Amino acid sequence: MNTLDMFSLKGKVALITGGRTMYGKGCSIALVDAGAKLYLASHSVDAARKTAKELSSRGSEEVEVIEFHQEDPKSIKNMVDYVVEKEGRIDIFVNCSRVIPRGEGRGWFQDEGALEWSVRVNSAGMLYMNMLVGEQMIRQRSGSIINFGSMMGLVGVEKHNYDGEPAMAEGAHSHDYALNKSGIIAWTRHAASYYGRYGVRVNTLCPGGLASDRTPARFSKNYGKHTQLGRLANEYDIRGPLLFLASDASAYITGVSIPVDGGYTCI
Amino acid sequence: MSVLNKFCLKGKNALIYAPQFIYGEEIASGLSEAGAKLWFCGEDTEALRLLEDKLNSSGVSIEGVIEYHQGSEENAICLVRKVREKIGKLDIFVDNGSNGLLKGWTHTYEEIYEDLRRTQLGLMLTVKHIGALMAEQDYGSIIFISNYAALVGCDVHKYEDNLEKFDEDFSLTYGFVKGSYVNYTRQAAGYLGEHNVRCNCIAFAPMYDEESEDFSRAFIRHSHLKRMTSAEDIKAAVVFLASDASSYITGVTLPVDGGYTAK
Repeated sequence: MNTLDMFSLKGKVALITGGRTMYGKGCSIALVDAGAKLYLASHSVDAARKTAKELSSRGSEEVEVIEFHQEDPKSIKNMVDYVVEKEGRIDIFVNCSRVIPRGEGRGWFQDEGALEWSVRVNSAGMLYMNMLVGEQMIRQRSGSIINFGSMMGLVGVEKHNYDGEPAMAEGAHSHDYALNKSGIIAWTRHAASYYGRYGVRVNTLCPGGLASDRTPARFSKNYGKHTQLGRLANEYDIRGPLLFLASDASAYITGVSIPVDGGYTCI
Repeated sequence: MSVLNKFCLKGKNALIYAPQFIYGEEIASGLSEAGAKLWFCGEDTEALRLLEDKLNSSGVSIEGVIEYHQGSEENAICLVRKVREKIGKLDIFVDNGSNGLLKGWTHTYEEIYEDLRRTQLGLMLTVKHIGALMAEQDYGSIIFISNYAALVGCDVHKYEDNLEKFDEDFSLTYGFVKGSYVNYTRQAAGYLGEHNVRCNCIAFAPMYDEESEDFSRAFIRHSHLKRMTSAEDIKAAVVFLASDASSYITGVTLPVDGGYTAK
């Protein structure tokens, strides 16, 4: 087989959560460009349909939208059942969704409501959806699961990144984000152990900060100084790593968490 | 000052959450032997009293037991109020609460949520408020007790003669919860550091009498030091991180596992 063909997703069925914006959109683009049939699960159905239309114009298959609410276990199950009913399989599952906690207080002062919401949605919801997709992949005896950790699951906060940006600094010390992302990284190794004998691979991407139109210039500069490549991530940086883990190019890789952070965590 | 005095905990007050679980007895003995005054807190006050009696009979005295139902902000605030009343200055807090996690891989959403609510929500609220108390004091050491599952996955080959037990034992939530301590430790260390409050985590390997013969044999074969964790290993690691001997160490997860995760 030609090496580049190993990256092809032609004939594969992919399901993505949180694939509408930011890093998630980059992942959706990579999956579509590589030829996968993509199901885009989102709580914002109208906005997701617009994204799906845009994505469909890039690939040979139409991208379908599934309404999905991570706080609702029935909705999670419906999402998985829908794809299995339509396609009979799920070859690739990418979970990029993360819900911002609903509650009072920011950073270290997050209140019980915010922390409970995060445990309910980002932790319990994440494990439950992985478990359901995993059951299907066990039946298939194949599959690639990719979750989103973060560089903030690998290291603590560099306060100087927020110099001159007090509002951002206030939110940086949240309890739930580091706890959740650290848990995902460790869980990846356990899930790889559990699913390995069924031919199912489980890996995690740990991206760094992503530049957007709203990123303050001073933060970009501060943060860039902390990376080896001197910059925040751009919209293209996630695509290659995602496609590598999704495709047979990484057939012997399982249980890893790959920092995609411009070298932020290497010092 | 002699370096040995740096390990001494005389004059220090320590509070252990959920010491009735694995490692708790050794943690309590170690801190007491090093000179700390000890308090226990947790939901199961009967289990805490039983442990207190057991430790008393071996010469370890416990100053008091505080009933604490982890998992709500109100209870965490109440805990801190009781700590102020009964203990005064709190130098050392040890969280030993992430135990009794679900066994098996397939569960309902509600079961998964309850496991995480009990362990993770409780942990975050406790650390938020105990951390604030220690920040006021401008001194403190918080120690999270995790285990080697935070650093590596489960070796399926330990179960190769008994895959049914593998399916039964293997927990959907265990690795997630144990592993979540690793970077939470760094996060908490980052916030509390400027208040001279240190946060560290210990990843212990299993103790011999907690595991089956087959498991222990397989574990020992893979470890560098060819044995399971002893009571002395647990005591020494906790005293090190609790004491001023580690005054420049914060945000670390220390494997105490005979080198199991070093290869």
